[in-house]
Amino acid sequence: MVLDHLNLADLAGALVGFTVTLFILSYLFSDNALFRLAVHVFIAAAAGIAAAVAWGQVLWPMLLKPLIQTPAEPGNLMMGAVPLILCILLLGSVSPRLSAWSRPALAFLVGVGAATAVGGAVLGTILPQVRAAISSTINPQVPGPGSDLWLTYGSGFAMLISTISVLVYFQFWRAPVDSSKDGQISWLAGLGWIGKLCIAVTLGLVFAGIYLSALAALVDRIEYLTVFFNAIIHP
Amino acid sequence: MNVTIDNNDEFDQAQRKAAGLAEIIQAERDSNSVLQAGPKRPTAWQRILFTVVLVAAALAPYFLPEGRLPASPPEFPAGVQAFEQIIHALPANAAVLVAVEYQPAYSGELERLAQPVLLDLMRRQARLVMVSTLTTGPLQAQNLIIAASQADGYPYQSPYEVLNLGYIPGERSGLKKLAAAGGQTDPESGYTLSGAAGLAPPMLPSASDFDLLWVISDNPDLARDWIEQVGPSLDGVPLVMSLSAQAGPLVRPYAGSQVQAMVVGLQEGAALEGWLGFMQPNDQTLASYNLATSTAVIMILILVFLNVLIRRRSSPGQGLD
Repeated sequence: MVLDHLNLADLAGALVGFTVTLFILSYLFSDNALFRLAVHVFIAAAAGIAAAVAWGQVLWPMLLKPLIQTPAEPGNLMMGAVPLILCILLLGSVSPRLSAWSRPALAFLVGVGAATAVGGAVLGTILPQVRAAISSTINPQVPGPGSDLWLTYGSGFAMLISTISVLVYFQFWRAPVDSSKDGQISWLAGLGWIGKLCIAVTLGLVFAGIYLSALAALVDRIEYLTVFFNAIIHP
Repeated sequence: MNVTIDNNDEFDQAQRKAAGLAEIIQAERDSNSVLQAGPKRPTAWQRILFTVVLVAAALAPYFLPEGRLPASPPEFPAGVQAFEQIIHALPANAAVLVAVEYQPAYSGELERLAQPVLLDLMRRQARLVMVSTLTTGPLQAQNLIIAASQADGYPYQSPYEVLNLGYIPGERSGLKKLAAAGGQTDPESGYTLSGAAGLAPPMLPSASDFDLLWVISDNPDLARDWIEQVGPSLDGVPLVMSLSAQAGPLVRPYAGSQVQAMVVGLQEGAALEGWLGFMQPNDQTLASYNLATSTAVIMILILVFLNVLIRRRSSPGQGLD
């Protein structure tokens, strides 16, 4: 960043960014008015952007413009009127007295969303992942010549056991049983325990990933502050 | 009620319990006995100390002379190699659908991941179509293109070389529609990603007609939505992902099957950067990140050790069990 090369808008943006970064970092000492100011500005800006995008890229071009500018076209009337009516009905949810009018629109939204999610989960995740878990054990992809076949089969087997044990852990159809009282299904409890261990390791990995991302954000902000200071001190 | 006590230990324990009960009852009766609050846990100075150490570690590379930066040489995981092979296997003027699916808070990490790939694609004269299911996505996409154009010295011209088709409403439903029938329109140029005919020649009818689908995301749910909703419609088109470190663990199971290549986090991003030939010899940002990560790991280990020591030294509870 060289201050001489920045125009007024860029310079103002850099100053605002620098100031807001310091406001956010002030939370380190305690919750304070500067931090809250920065958070409020952020929320307001995010809401404003969302509203502008919703109007400029969805509501006007897809819903209102076809109805207003070319209403005579039968396709436009049908494709525009139905969503418009559903949108107006949806506004009824702001009032308890009118909330009954919003139910058809909400039902449509929830139904479509659930169908899309369930269909995607079954076809896009469950079936391919089950297939991959089985094939990694029965027919694993051997990396290449010189690679350890036993290691390849072993890791595939471990993946299959992990998958099964995690699914067993989440079973709710039987009450937990003390292995000393009913030894017949103690293997189920053991398998569930392995699943719990796998889940704990996974959650640990997820937490580590979140921490690394946060660290990357911190490093990015430190770099920004350093570059800004350098630009001021050595213009 | 007859109570049978088997041995002296149980008798002693019973006596201690009775004495504890008597004390509690007496304290309730004594109105002057006010329970004093324990000392305040000194969390503020601990928080500040940890932050100072972390920030000092992150700042250190900026004060070290060049050539002495502790940036580790990048390794080349299989995912990075696969990513590079897929990029280099693209034909000339390849059409690439780019999904910009990250929040501005993670732009520091993901722009670092995306820039080398974007520069490589632009130098190959790839045609880029940018979309997003986030409202801030179109702005992020614009920033990406501007930064890459400035770095490359060759401004990408819209709409032949790059089209920012903006926001896809409806989340999963919108992606399902995009995969099946397109229908996304660029508000400025009017070009449409659509299943219908009559498009301008450079742009392509549907998701499966692209040469590559590249998803850049910090959110594992968004990445999964692209895999589940658009993935089955790709019909052989490779799907590659550049992911934040927090999204990596939950999306990694899809690698190798539904996602052909994946780059996760700054380290793998640096490896890809080196593989593509954009790596800087003295990368202060990477050195800063490596030092901060190592410092954080050391601090966590020290604190865990101290915590275990303190717990072992504290005496067991003397009151009721």
